Amino acid sequence: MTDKIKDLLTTKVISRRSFLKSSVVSGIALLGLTGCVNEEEEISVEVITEEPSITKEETHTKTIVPREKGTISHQVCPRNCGDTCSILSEVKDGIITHISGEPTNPITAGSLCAKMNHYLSWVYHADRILYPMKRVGTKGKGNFEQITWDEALDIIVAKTKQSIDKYGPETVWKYYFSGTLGFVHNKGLPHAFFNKLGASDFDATVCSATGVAAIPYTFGKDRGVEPEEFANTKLYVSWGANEAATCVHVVKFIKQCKENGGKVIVINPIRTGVATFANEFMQIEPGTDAALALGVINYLIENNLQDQSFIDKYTIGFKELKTTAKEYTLDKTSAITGISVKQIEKFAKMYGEIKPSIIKIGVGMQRNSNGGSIVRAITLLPVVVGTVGVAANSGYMYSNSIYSAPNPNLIQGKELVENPNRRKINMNELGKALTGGLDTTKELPITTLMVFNSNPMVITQHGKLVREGLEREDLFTVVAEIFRTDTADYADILLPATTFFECEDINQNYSGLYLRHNEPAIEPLGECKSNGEIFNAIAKKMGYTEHIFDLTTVEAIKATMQTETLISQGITYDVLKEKHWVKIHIDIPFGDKEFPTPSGKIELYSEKLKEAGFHPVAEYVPTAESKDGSPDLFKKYPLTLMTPHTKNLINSQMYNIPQIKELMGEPVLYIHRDDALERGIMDGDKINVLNDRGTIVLTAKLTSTITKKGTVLSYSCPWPKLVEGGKSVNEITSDRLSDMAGGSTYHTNLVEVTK
Amino acid sequence: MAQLGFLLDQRYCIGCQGCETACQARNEAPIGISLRTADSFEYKESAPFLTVSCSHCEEPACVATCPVKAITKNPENGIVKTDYAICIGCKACIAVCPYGAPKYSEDKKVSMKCDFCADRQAAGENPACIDGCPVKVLTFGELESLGGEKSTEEFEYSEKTKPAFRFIKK
Repeated sequence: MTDKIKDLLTTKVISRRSFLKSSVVSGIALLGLTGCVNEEEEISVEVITEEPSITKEETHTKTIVPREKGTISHQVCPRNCGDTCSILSEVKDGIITHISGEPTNPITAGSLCAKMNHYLSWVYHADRILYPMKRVGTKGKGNFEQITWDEALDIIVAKTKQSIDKYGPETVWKYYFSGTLGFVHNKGLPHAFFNKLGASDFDATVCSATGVAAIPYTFGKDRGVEPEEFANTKLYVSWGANEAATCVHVVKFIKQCKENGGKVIVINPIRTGVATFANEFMQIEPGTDAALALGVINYLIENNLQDQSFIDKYTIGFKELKTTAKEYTLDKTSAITGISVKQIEKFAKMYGEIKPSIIKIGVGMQRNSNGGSIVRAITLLPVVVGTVGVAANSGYMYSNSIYSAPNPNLIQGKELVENPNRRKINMNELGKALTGGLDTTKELPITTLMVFNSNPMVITQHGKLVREGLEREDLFTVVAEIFRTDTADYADILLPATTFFECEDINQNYSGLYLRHNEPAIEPLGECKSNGEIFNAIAKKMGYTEHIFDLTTVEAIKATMQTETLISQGITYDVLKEKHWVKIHIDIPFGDKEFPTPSGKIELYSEKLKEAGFHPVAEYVPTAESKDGSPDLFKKYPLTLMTPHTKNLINSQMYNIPQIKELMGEPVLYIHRDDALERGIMDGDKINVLNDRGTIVLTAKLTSTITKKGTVLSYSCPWPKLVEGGKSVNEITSDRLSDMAGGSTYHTNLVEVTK
Repeated sequence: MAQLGFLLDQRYCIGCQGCETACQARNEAPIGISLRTADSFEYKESAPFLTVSCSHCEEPACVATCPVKAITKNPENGIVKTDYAICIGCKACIAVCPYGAPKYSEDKKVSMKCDFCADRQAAGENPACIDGCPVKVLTFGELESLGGEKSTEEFEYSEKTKPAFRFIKK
C-alpha cells in the first residue's frame, strides 16, 4: 500500500484534499477585523482597515477551473437492492477520487442514492480490516493482533480438522448472505469449499423465500414485469413495498406513470416515500393484506368487474374463489384491515376498470408469519382482472431474480457433495442453532462457524440468542469482513475482504434486467482478498486438489455465463466486459400462457396448497403476534413493531459511515401520538421497547402519519456497538419462521413501550 | 449566459436526500455540514418536501455584506461563490442570508456555501445535486426559462435578494 493510501485510511477520508492554503489564512488574519459572531448573534463587523489582497474584480475575471477527471473504470453497486446501479469511478495514482452513477443505464440514469454517494468514505474508511488477525482476550470485545495469512490459514485448518475429527463435517457451518453480492464471490466460488468439506447446508431464507414459494401455487412459476414498465402502465399498485427506501431509482418510473395520466396506489402500514404522491394511500393494519385482497376480489366479482373470458380460458377454481371471497364483505374487510369501506370500494373499482395495471408485491410484506398466505392472496387479483400474460406493462412484479441469467450453481462444486442428506440449517434460526435451541443442533453442535458477506450479530432476529451463541468458548468463528462489525468482534480469526472496488465480479439486478460487469478500480487495500480467493486458499490448505479451487475470477465468471439465456442472446464475457452492462431480453411475462401447475392452468383453487396445510384458495390468517393471533400476548405487549429498511442503510451496511450516521440521527422508534399520549411519552424521550425477547432503548419520535395507532416502527438496522445501550432493534425481533419456506418474520413482533 | 437557477418539482420530490449527500460528497463537507439540506420522508410528517442550497440570488445579501469580499457573483452566470482562501469565517454572510445557506465549519474556520458546482459545470457536468437526484425532480438552467413559482411552503421569495430558485408546486 502506498503512503498516500495509508494517509487516506488514517484520516478517515473525511477530507481528502487540503482545503485552505495556510499562508493565505494567516495573511487574512492580519487584516485587523474584529467582531466575529456566532449564528444567533447580531452581526457587528467593525472596521475594515484595508481592502483584501484579491479585489472583487480580479475574482470575477478568474476563470473557473474545470473539474479534473481521473481515469474512469466501471463498477456495479453490489448491495442487496433491486437497482444494482452501474458506477463510474475515477482513479488517480491508484486512488479513487470520484464516483458517479453511470448515465446511460436506464435504471441508474446518472444518479447514485443517498447512501452510496458516500462510497469513498466507505472504501477508505479508517476501520477497514487490512490484515488477517487473531483474537486476543474475550470474545466480543474486539481485541485482535495482526498475523500473517499463512498463520491464519494454519489456525483455521487445524481448528476445523479438530472439530471434524470429533463431530464429523456437519459440525462446520457457513453463514453468508448479501454483504457484497456477486455471482462469483458471493453466490459462487466460496460454496465449493463447504460442499467439498461436507459442512451443514445453509437455508438462505431471510429475504424473499416466502413469496418465492407462494407465487407458483398460483401460476406454477414467477414472471414479473420489468420496472421500466411502471412508467407505461395505467395503474401502479405499490403493495407492501417501499420503493423510495429499497429501490429508489424505480421511483422515476412511477412518477412517469402518474405524469402520463396513470394512477398510483400505495398499500402499506407505513407512510412510504411514494405514498406522498400517490392518488390513494391505504394505510393498512400490518399483516392483514390477505383480507384486503379477498375483499377486493369479492367486490370485483359482485360488481361483475372480473375478466370472465380470461378466467374461463386460463384458470381453474373460480367457483371456489367466489365462495371463499364472499365472506370478505366490505364491512368485514374494513374491520380487519383498518381501511375505510369507501377507500376499499374506490380502489377495487379502479383495479377492476383501469387496465393495464401492475401490482408491485413488496418483499417486506412477506416477512410476516403469514407472509405466504398474503402473497398467495394478492397473486389472485391480476388473474381475476385478466392482466397477466397480455402485455409487458401489465401484471405484477415480485422479485425478478427469477430472470437471473448467469448460473452460480455451475461454480459451487455441487458435484463434490458426498452426502446429499446432510443437515440443513435455516439462517433465520442462527441464535437457536448456536445455543442448542434446535433439535438438529442439540446432539451435533455447530463448533466451527465461517461467516462471509454478512453481519449476523446485527441483522439476525432475536439478537440476544445470537450473541449468546457467538460468545460460546467452544465455537471457533472465522469472519471474512471489510469492517470491524459487531460480528467481527466475536471472531477467533478475522480475514480481510476486498470491497467491490478491488475485485472483479458480475451482478444482475433482481428488479431491472441488467447484467453488469464489475471491474476492479484499484488494487486490494492491505492484504485484502476476494471471497473466492479466501475460500480457495482455505481449501488448498485443507489439502483439496480439485480444479475448482484453482479457478481464477475470470474463469469463474465465464463458467457462470454458460447458460442458455446468455448463449442464445450472444452475451459472452468479452461482450459484457466491453459494454459494462447488457440488457437481458425477456418475452412478455406469461405471454406463452404456460402455467406449470398440476392442472396446467392458473390455479385459483390449489390442491397442492391444501396438501401443504393451507386454505386451497386463500385466507386471512392473523399474524402469530397480533390482537387476533395471540390475544394473551397482546394484552402484555399491545403494539406491533415493524422493522423495515431505511433509505439510509442497506440492511446494516453504511451505518459506520459518519456522514450516514449523522444523516440518520440516533435510532428512533416512530410511535403514533395517541399511543405516546397514553404512555406519557414526549417527542425525544428515551424509551424502553420491550417484549419477552429483550429490551432496547430508543428515542421516541412522535408521528401522526408515518404509522397508525397501534403500530410502532424502528428502522433496521444500526450496529449495536455504535448505539447507546449497545443493543439494536433485532435484539427483540422474532426468529419465528414464516408460513412458507421458512422465511423471516421481521415484522411479526408485539412490544410494549415504557418511559 | 444568463443567471442560472434551480427548479424543484415538489409534486414528485419524495425526500430521499440523494441531492444532499451528493452535495456533501462533492464538497467533502465536514460531518454535520450540508451545503444543500433536504427534507427526509422518513422524518417529515407530510409532503411537500423541500431541498435547498444557496439560491444564487440575483441581489445576494452575502456578497454585499462580506467584509473581505470573499463572496462574489459571477456576472455571466450569476453563480455566487465564496473564495475560501479569502473568507475569514466571520459569519456575516450567515447572518444576512434569509435562507441560512452558508454553513460555518469549525474544522475549516470558513463559511461554506454551494458554488453551483462551477468546476463541474465548466467540465460539462451537472451540479452534483442534480445528478444526485434519482427521481429527477431537481433540475437547473437559465432562470428565465425555468418557469415555476417563486415561493412555496417553507420557502418564501425574498424581494430583497431575489433567489434564483423556482418550484413546481404540489
